[in-house]
Amino acid sequence: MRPIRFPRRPASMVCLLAFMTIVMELSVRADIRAEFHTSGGYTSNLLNEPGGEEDCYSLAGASIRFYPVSSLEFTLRNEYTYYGRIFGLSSFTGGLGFIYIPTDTSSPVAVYFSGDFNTRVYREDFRAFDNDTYDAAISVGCRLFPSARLRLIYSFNSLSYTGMEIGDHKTNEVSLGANLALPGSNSIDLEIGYADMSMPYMKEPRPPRNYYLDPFHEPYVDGHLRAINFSPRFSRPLGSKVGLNITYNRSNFQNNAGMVISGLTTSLLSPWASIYEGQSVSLNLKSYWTSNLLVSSGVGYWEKEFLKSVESIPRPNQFAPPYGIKDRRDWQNEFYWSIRQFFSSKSGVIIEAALQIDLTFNNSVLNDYDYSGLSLSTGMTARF
Amino acid sequence: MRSYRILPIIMTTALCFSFVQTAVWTAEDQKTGNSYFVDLDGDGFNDNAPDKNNDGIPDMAGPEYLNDGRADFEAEEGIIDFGACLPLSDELLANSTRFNRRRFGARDLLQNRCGYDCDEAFGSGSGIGIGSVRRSGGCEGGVCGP
Repeated sequence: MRPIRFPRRPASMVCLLAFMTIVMELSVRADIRAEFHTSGGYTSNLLNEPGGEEDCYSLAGASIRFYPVSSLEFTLRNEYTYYGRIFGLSSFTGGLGFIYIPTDTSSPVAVYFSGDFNTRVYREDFRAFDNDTYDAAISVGCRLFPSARLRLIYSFNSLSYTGMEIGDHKTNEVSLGANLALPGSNSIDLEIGYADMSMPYMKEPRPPRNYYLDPFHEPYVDGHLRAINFSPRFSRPLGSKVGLNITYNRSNFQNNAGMVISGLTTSLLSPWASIYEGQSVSLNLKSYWTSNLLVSSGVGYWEKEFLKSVESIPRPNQFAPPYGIKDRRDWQNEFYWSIRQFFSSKSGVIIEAALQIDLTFNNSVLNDYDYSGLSLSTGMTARF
Repeated sequence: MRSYRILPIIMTTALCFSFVQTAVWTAEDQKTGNSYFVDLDGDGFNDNAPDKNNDGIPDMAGPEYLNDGRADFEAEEGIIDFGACLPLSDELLANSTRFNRRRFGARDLLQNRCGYDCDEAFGSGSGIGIGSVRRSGGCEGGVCGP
């Protein structure tokens, strides 16, 4: 019998010992879970533009979750999105992350750590917009009374494009929330938040330049966009099979004066579509028709005021600049109706089939953003 | 611009129908006894409602509750508060199950509504639909976002 020969290199020895330590320390309860999901659908207006371009899309992905201990979850995931007509928009996303919850369920204090990295790669047509995102969050919840719980959440997000820099931004957000149980099966959740986003922008010129700006030659400066938020939520059951929530959200920029960003209609993949101030209200219903059949629907209304942006403008003559600074304000109505059916086997496999209809109406002070759209999606998820 | 003015009417009718139908089936408030109605995830259902098979669906929503499950539910009331209602003796469970219980206890810490991406929370949570697709390469105003 040949004796075991250990590697002579110290680095190899260290790696071997570390690997053995990890394996030996793994609990016998460590397990791995897998998930596969696929969905497809049709939309009457993929680009959300006045003309509306129909397209079909499909999405397929898989993820593996590893639980070395009962307080830790590692995730490895990938996903591919495919578009029928605008094929170049198809993209691959890969990512990994972790969640660490050191506190037990019986503890009056809950602590939550999470971290995520995702990278997205487009096809050749949109390769300049490949991007990486980093997310991290630390949350603490505290049960003050049997009927009240407080929470403090800090989150960080970084978006960086591999092919350009003008869309990169980093966001730090802090929110403080309180959940109150009220008599009569009523619940109220209050949340206030503060967000700071470091981002490049163009300074708004003063007259006599007459508010004309060329996004391709104007220098960008780095700055911070700050916003405060307030969001109350009311929820209660309606009967024993229907749940209702009504959520209001109000967000206000604090220092957006003089900030101009690249326009959303200047052939850029827009990193600014979700950056706006304003208010919204939504109503959601969730109901169990049977023990495994979940039906949910909701309607929402948004008032959005975006940062000033450089947009393409009609040129009265050849000497007039092709771009101008525009204010954009939108009013949006959105509706969804979803039905989900769950199937489970005795071996623990859960299969979920889903169907969803989305309907969107958007009105804007800019004609380029007056649009409506309908989408129909189906999907299936298998968890092992 | 295409017009779908008739569709909101159909959708609203469907929404009202789904609400009315399920409400009529069991038109009574959830009985909470001396316990508190806790809804950290905001779905309108009591988070402390028993879920014996851990499938995320409260037992009272299942058909068994309408038959003989009421006694079990009422028996567990009064001892439940903001702490999780799940059983604590889990020595024999896999780590994934135990982790999911911890995550259930921290369900209000998973996501904040305020912030620059607050509208992402709107939706069914099924992971499908145009909203989820747009978040993985979506479009607005003729261009597409990351």
